[in-house]
Amino acid sequence: MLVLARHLNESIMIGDDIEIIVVSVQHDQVKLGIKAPRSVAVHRKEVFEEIQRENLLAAQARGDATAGAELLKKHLKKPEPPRS
Amino acid sequence: MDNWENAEQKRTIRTKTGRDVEITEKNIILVKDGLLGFDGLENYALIPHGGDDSPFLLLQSLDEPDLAFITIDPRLFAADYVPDLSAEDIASLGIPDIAQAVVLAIVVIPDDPRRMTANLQGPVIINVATRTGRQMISRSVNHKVRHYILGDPAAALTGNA
Repeated sequence: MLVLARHLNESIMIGDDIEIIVVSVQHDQVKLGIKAPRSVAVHRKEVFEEIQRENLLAAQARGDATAGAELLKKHLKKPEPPRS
Repeated sequence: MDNWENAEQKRTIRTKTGRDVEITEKNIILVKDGLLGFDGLENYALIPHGGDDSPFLLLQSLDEPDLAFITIDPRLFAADYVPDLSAEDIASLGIPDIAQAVVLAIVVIPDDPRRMTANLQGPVIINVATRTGRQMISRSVNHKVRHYILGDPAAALTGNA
């Protein structure tokens, strides 16, 4: 892993179109600005971890799919609430 | 997957729930890179699940018989749902835009199915023509990892008070 020391408002470039800037440093929190093309996905690592956890939960859930399906079918059949 | 002579060739698989299901090549999806947390498991079959006219599809691993995910088309209960994906993500499946993909949300059905949720933040996007898919991350803050399919139970309680 490459480790770089940067001061406030300094940045690093990844390739020629992604720039990461140190926007502020307060106690143990660093705010980073990320300039990247719309085509590049930028996500916090926690988002990946959260989806991983949810996938694991989905794989382990033991709920009754048939009961769930019946509940959803009923739910979708509910008439629209009357509009006043 | 190359051992299929044609799309009509059938094969029986046993699902995680112990059901024997006949599938053809058309049921098979290659999930590139696997689902998050399930790296390396890329071969799945997509089969109806949950009884007659059920809105659920089972994404059954063909690598691990005990691994399966219940999925659903999220537009059934969130009509305007369109995941906010990067152009790079969409291009990785070889589809020109998201409107031409099949979008599935992974469902968690807990012991109390009234509290079932769908993951709208990490949908599985499928190119039907190539039968390849990938789990992607929607950038919209409105797309929650745990979206209550039948409405938020907490909101329903306070709503009736």
